[in-house]
Amino acid sequence: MKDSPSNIEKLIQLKRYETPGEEYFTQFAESLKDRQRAELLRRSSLALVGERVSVWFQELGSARWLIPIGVGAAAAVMAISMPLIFQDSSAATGMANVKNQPVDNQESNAFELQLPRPSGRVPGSQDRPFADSPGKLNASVTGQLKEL
Amino acid sequence: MKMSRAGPHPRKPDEDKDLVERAKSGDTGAFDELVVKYTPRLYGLIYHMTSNHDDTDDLLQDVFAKTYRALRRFRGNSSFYTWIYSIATNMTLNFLKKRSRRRTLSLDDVDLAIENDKEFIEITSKSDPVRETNISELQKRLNMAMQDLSEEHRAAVTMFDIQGMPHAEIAKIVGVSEGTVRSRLFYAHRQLQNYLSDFRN
Repeated sequence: MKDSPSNIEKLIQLKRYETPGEEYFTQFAESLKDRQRAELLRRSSLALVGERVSVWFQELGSARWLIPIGVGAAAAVMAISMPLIFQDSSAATGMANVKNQPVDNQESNAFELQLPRPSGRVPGSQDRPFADSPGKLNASVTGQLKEL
Repeated sequence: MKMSRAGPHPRKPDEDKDLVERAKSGDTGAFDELVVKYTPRLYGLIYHMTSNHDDTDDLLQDVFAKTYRALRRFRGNSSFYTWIYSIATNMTLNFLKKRSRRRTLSLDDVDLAIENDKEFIEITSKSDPVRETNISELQKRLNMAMQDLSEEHRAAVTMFDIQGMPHAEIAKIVGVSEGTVRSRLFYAHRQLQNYLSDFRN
């Protein structure tokens, strides 16, 4: 027999007889309904939580207004106290390495070095910074160090 | 075991339109009727493309779930039949492209009514190789031949040869021209001929 496309098509058409049976299709419809119900329940769970919160809130009655007031008060306290907390903590960190020295206000925020007492020279003057104490930095140098 | 052939199915657009409108308005019973109506044909479409019963079952569930969610967006520009078939075809093609190249076949039983099929009788009477091959082996060979085709060619063969759909309808569902459908079928038949060449006399 000479093979031709039509014979191949006839062979492939026999695949029509491959089928799972009526019972499968009946069960399929039921399992699809179960799946749809499960999906609906899953989607509505979030809505359900929202609804319960809403109901609880309503059941508080007049006391429910205390909640936003309390939340607002807590937020205000936080807003006021946080900067103070930060200020205290940064000041405590800065004071950890400070030695008692008579330095002026501008130099109090600079990196503190262990320096001899200021000689009274004008900062940035032509005087050699090491003239007073070879090997040690004069207090007038701190201004230059700050710039560094 | 009583089975039914998923052959050409006469469509009643008017009936679908009514069911679709009711389903869109929330009538779950109407959607259930659409499920019962289209499950056999959609099962056949997906099964013949995947040759795997378990994958077909999962995909078919996904197809109807997606159809249900998208129903409110269905405007009726095409028939519901074409629309749901497009969804099923596209989802199956996407699934096939993602899965490993060839999976183990998981085949449905063959309806014993095949032995009374005119074409089957003719082929077995004229072709020794076909006659000497038992039905189970023949089924396996046909499925392996189908799996050897690309997904697009397999879809064309499934819809035209197995489900008896006209070229124009296949073109609408797949979203290509009729010429492309014919071209794919020609190429697919030639490939199948090569693969099943031992069934020549």
